[in-house]
Amino acid sequence: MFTKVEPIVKTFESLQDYTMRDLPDESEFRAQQALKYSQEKFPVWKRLGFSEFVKEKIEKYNGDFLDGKSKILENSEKALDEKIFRDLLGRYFYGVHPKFTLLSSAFFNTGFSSLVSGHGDIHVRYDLNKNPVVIENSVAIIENGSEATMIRKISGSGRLSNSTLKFVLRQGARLKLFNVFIASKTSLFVDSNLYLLAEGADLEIYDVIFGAQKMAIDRTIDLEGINSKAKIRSVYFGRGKERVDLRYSLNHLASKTYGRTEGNGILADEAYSVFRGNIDIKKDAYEADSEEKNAILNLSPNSRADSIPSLFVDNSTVTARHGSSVGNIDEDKLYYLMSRGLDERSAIKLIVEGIFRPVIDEIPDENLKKEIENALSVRI
Amino acid sequence: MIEKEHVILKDINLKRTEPGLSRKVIEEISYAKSEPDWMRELRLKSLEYFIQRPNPTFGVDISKLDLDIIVNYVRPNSKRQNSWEDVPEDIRENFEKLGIPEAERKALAGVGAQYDSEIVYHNMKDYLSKLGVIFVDMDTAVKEYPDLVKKYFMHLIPPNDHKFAALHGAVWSGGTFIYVPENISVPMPIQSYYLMGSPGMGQFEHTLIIVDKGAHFEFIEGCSGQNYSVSNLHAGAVEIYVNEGATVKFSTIENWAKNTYNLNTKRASVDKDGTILWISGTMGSAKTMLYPSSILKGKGARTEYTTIAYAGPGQHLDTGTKVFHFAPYTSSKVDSRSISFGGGYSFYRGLLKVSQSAIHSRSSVECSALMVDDISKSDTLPIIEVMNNESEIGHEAYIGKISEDQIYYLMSRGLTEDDAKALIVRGFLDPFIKQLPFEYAVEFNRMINMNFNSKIG
Repeated sequence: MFTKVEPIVKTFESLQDYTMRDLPDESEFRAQQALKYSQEKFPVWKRLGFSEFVKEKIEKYNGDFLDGKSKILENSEKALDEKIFRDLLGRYFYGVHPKFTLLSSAFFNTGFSSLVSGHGDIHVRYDLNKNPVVIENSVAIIENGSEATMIRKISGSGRLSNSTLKFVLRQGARLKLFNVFIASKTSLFVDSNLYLLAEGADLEIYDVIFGAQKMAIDRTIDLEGINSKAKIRSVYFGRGKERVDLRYSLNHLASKTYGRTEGNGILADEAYSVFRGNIDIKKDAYEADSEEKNAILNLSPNSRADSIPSLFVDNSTVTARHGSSVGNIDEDKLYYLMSRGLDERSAIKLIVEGIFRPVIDEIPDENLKKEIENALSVRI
Repeated sequence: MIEKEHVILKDINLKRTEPGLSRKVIEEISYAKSEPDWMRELRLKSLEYFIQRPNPTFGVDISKLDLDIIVNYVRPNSKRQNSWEDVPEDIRENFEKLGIPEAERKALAGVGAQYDSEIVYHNMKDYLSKLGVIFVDMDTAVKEYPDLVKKYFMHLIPPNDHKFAALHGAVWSGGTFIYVPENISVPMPIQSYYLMGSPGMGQFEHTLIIVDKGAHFEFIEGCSGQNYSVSNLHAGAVEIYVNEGATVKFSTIENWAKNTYNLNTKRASVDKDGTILWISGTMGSAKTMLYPSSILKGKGARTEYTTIAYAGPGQHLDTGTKVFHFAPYTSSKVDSRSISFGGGYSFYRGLLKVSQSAIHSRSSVECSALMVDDISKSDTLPIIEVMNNESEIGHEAYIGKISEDQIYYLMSRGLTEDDAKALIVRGFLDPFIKQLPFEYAVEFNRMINMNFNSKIG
C-alpha cells in the first residue's frame, strides 16, 4: 500500500575488472555467470571505505581444503556436472552485493558441494598464505531430517578472499556451522551466505572473526518453513586499521518462525565495525518471534562502532525486539579483578576472553579452539 | 483542535500567488512583505539550491506531490491583530471550529495564530515585554530585529541542507520569533497555532527561538487544517538556540489534515549545561517526514525526547530523532512510541552520533511500537555511531501486538473488546499524554476513543 523510499546503492566502474578472458575454462556455466557479472558495477561502501577495486590474478587453488564425510562431498568444479548442484551454484543471490556473489559464481577457484543425508561432518579450510586469492562458490543441501556439523576456516595473509555459500535445509534438517576467519593482513575479505530453511529446520551459526583489512560479511537467512529456527552467535575482534561490516538478516516468511542473533564485538586501536542486524517479518509470519542483540566494547579512544539494527514488521501477532549497546570496559569490573591481584592487562584479557568463551566452547575441534585462543591472546 | 475530521471551514477572502515556484513568485512574496534586500537574496539563493537538490532518497513516497501546482503563498485579507475580537469573524470562526478554546488561551503567556501564510493574531502578556522577552511574528522580527535575525535565521538549518529546507528558505512566510533574555524564566508557555485553510497550498512558517543564558522557556505549537481532495504541503522550519544553562521545552501537537504532506525540519543547538526537551505528537497528515535534531555542542548539554506517531488509515508517518553528541558529558534520552492501526504505516528512523571528543557521554534510546491489527505496518531503523571508548550507549526497540491476555483480562472485568483496546492504546501513549496541556490531553483521549469505537475514558 505504501512505498518506502530507500537509498540507491552507489556504484562505480573499476578500470581493473575481470572479463571473459579471466575465466579458467570455456564452460557454458561460467560464461553465463561472467556475462551477468560484467553487467554489474562495484558497490561503493562508504563505511568500509571501499571505492576502488584491485584486480588480483585468480589462480588454480593449490592444496587440499576439504575433508569429512557426507553422502556427496566434492569440489564445486566437479559438482557442476550434476544438475542439483549446478542450479544452486548458479542461483542468483544478493549477498553483500551481486557483483561479489557473481564474482564467485563465474570465477571461483575453489568451493565445495555437498549433499548430507543422515549425518554429515564437513571440514573446510582455505589457506590464504598459499593461495592469496580465494574465490569460493559452495553449496550444501541437508536432506529431510538429516543433520550436519560444518567447520569452515579461512586464514592467512592474502590479497582477496571472496566467498558465496548457499545452504538448503530441507524439512527438519539441522545444521551447525562454524565460520572462523583469521586473516588480518588480507586486503579485502568478502563472505556472503544464503540459508533457506524448510519446515522445522534448525540452523545454528557461529562466526568467529579476527579481521582482514576490509571485511564485508552478509548472512541472509530465509525462514521459509513453519517452525523453522535460526540462532546466530557472532564474535569479532578488530584492531589496527581493520574495518568490518557485518550484516545479519533474518527474514521471517512463515508462521511460528524463530530467530535469535547475538553479536559481540571488541575494538582496539583504530578499528571500525558496523553491525547490521535486520529482522524482517512478512505478512504470513504469524506468531514469529525474533530478537537481535549487539554489544560492543571499545578499548581505544580511536576505535569506532556503528550499530544499525532494523525491524520491519508486517504482521501484528509477532514479538520482535532489538538491543544495542556500546561501551568501554566497566571500571568496577576492572577494579574488582585488579583488587584480586591481576594487573590491568590480565584483567582486560579475562574480560575479553569472557566474551569469546561461550562461542569457543561450542567448537568441536580442539586444534581450532587453540588456534582461536592464540589469535585472541595475540590481539590483547 | 485534534478531533476535527468533519470540520468545514468557512471560505474567506484571500490573496494568493500563482501556483508553482519561480523567481517571479519569490519576488512577489518578498515585495508583499516589503522585505530588506538580504532576505530577498536569501530567498533567491534558496531557490537555486531547491532546483539543484534531488528529492530525499529515503522516507515516504513524494512522487505524487506536484510542486508545480502548490500555491506557495496565500495571504488572508486581514491585518495582524493584537486583540482576538479584531480578527475578522470568518477567520476567527475557523479557529474556533478547530476547538482552540478561549480558556486555554488565557492559561498562556502569549499566543500567535497563523492562517495560511500569515500571522493574523498575536498577543503577549504585558509583564513579559517588561522583562525583555521578545515575542513577535517572524516577518516583524525581520524588520525590527534585523541583527538578531541575520545572526540566527537559517544558520542551524541552512537552505542547502536538503530539498525542502531550500524550498522553505525560498518561500517561508509567517511563524514566530522569540528571544528570552538571560536568567528570565517565562512562567507559562507561549503557544502558536498554525492553520491551513486553503486547498492546494503550502505553509512554510519559520520558528526561531533564542533562549539566553540560564533562562527557561516553554513553547507549544499546534497544527491543523481542513481536508481537501488535492494535496497540501507543509514544510516549516524550527530553529532553537539554547544558550549556556538554559532550558527549552518545545511541544508539538501536529494534526494536519489527511491530504497534507508534512516535510518539516526542526533543530536545536544546545550550549554548555543547556537542556532541550522535545515533546512531539504526530497524528495527522497523509505523509510525514520529521526528525527533530539536537546538536549537543557544549559540555554537559542534554536532550530528552518524548514522541509518538499515531498512524491510522492512509497514513505513512516516517518520524524519528537525531542526536549529535559533540562535547564531553553530554546526555540524551529518547522515548519514542508509535501506534499503527487500520492500515497505517509508522516508521521510526533514528540517528545517534557520538563524536570522538564527546567522552563520558550517555545515551539511552528506546523505541516501541504497538500494532493493533493485521493490516498495519511498523518499522524501526536506528543508526548508532560511536567514536570513542568512554561513553555508554544503549538502544532498545520493541515491536509487538496487543496481548490477548491483556484484552481477555480487561473483558473479564466487564469492558468490551473495543474499550479494552482503547485503554491499552492510551496506556501505551501515557508518557506523551502526560506531557500535554490539559485540554489537549482530553482531546487526545477522545480521539483514541473515536478511533477504537470506545465509549469509556
